[in-house]
Amino acid sequence: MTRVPLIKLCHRVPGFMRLGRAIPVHWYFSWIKTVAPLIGFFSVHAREQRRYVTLALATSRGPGESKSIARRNLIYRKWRVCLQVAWPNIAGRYHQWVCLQGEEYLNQVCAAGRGAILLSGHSFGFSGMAVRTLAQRGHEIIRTGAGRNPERQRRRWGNGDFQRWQYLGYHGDYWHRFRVLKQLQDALRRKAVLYIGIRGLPAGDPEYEIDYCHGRFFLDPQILRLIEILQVPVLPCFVLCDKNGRAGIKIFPAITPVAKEIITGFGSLYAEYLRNFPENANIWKRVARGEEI
Amino acid sequence: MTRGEIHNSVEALVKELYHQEDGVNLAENFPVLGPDGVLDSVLALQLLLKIEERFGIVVNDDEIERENLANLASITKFIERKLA
Repeated sequence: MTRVPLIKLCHRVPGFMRLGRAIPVHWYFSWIKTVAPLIGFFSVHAREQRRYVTLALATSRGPGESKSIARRNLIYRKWRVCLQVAWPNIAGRYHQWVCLQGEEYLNQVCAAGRGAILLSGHSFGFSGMAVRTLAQRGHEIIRTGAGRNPERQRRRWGNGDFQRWQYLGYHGDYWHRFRVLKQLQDALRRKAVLYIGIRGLPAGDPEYEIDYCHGRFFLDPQILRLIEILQVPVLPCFVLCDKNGRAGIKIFPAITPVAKEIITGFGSLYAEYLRNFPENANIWKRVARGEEI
Repeated sequence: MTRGEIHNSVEALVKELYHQEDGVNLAENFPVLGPDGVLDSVLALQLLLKIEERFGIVVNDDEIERENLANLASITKFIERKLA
């Protein structure tokens, strides 16, 4: 499900790049909406994904609704990759592909002389588009993750003057993680924006639990502790696509960097998003297995 | 600032983060940071920020290594070098 040869052809091969730029967004999206469910019938991996969604949602949704969510989840997964692959070719006219709301909140925080943290759910929505779009609009963005191959991320997304964003992988040993955290703190001093996708855990301290419709859900206390140490305002940020395939980035007003405030302010929003748009989550395999999300 | 003063300040900061009582003295080779240390990487950052604030120094990320920050003695020596 992660291979997108047609999109790659249009957006990576020089001869076809002009064609890739010319095709309207909703054409691409219609194509993906047609193809992704078909793949769902033939691909073993896609069938597995559908099974995880229906399994995870078995207790909270009816069988018909679960099936429909599973189908939309396949489209989401495919489209997410397509948008990211297409980005280098469409960055110059990103406003046709992306709709940004709430940037004024981010600007207010940055104008106050501090950096900011954009907080979203781990593997939820089209988060990669927020990073790329804000970088394109002149913000210095840092994204972190425990990616297994940060070098590949850097090679793929870290070059080119239209990509003012950096991926910092905190995989590796203690000293590497420590250095990454220091780099984050230094970047925030330069008024950079840090993007974090917070993980959910199936067990934890009741203090960090948020209202959730598919079992118990605890926000990662390490991230909350880090936010409290970094002491910069936190802005919830979620990215979903509209019916034409355009990514809608929504940034919410700033929250004080205190764990309690984040659980109340961000946690309730995240739970609401998961409840209303479950197909935009890439977490169902782990939910079904009871693993950390 | 003498080495003793630096040591005492760092010791107080570590105790604060490690929730150690004031009366207990930490040994020179007490493992503060690193895989065997008492502080995880998030608390390590907090300690570093407190050190920067307390001593008015800036620690670069390439200076974050075992030789400089593993235990109380190495942290004290490192700060002393930065202040010199």
